[in-house]
Amino acid sequence: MADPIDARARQARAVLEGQVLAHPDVRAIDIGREDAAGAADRGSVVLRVHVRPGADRSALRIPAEVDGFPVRVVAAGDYRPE
Amino acid sequence: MTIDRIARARARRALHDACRRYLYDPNVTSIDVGFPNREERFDRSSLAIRFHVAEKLYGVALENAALAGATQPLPAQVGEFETDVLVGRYRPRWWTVPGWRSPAATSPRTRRQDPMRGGISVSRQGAYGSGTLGSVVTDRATGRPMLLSNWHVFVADWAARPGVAVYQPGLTDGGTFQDMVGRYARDAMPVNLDAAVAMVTGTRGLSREQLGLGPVRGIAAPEPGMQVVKSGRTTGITQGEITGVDGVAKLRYAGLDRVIRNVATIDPVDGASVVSDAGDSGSLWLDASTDACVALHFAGSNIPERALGMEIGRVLDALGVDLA
Repeated sequence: MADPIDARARQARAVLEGQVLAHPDVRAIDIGREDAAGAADRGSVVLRVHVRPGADRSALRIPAEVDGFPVRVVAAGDYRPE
Repeated sequence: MTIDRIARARARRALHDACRRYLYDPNVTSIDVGFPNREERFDRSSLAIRFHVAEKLYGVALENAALAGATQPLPAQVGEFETDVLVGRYRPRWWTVPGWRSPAATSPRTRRQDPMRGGISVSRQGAYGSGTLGSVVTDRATGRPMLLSNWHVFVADWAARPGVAVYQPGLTDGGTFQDMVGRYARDAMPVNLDAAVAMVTGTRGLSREQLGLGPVRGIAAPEPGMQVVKSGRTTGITQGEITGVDGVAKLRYAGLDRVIRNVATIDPVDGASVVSDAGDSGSLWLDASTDACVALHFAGSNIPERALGMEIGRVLDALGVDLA
């Protein structure tokens, strides 16, 4: 059974938000599940940073993990009100 | 410094050559003649052939993409002109101009509906686009019915005050002053939620169903992996899968950047091409297996195709209303 998304994960998301959300190339942050094919921990809780395509990811200083939760980078869309 | 006519004519010839060779590259979104960008500033003393690309690629990433056929290396020079590479993805701004994407004229979603239900066109007075009526809701304080949608559908003006007229169908879908069905009452933007409710005028009947989906059966918290479905003004009934929860997203509203909280991220399932588009804002995302409402749609992107909704429990609490 998949790990629950509990207060620890939400707290870690808040910490990550404080670290990277202000960067202009970061469009969103959320909590998701590990979905990498073949990953041993598939389905476990991860933090996700939505980054604008083409951004220099090395300049973003995105941590590899926060409070034990792995951080994954996903391609952001040009999010806009619809 | 001005560019003389002969130089511009030569540039156009080089542009033609560049377009013939590179415009159909999947990563190239546009090619033009313009001032090259040098160290974050346009050099207005010369012209360059400028390649606009979806993503700038370098080194190994470029080699891999080229091997996969996803792009090709761009030249440093075309004819006598240096080249420049800019990042740009372009699409029509449907949601800001008349004539934006609309369902078929015969669609019930953009026509006058009595009773009103979730999934149909609404807009505020003075709107340049229409959104979606999410649902009829009940004011927790008075027990009176209200209409739920997004702040940017019912208000979209930082100086607006309660009383702004709401129309069904929306003004860009043929609504007129005779179709005023409510007045904006309050919103949740102060707590970083793009949501608002309107008092009903009592001129139409009200149904708590979603057009094409039936009744909503309570609310639930969004969870990654949950299959969801919505009924929206523009794309109708679409399905998706929640891939992220408890998110924060940055968007621009009426000229100001805002952070929206309690965001659920929804991606297409099974290669579906569309989950949402401009005009679907205000739709309710329902758990496809239980019909419980999990999120209020408010934003999305086309590249990649993705929808964003706000956790419905937070929205209802912030507005002081209930779905049933």
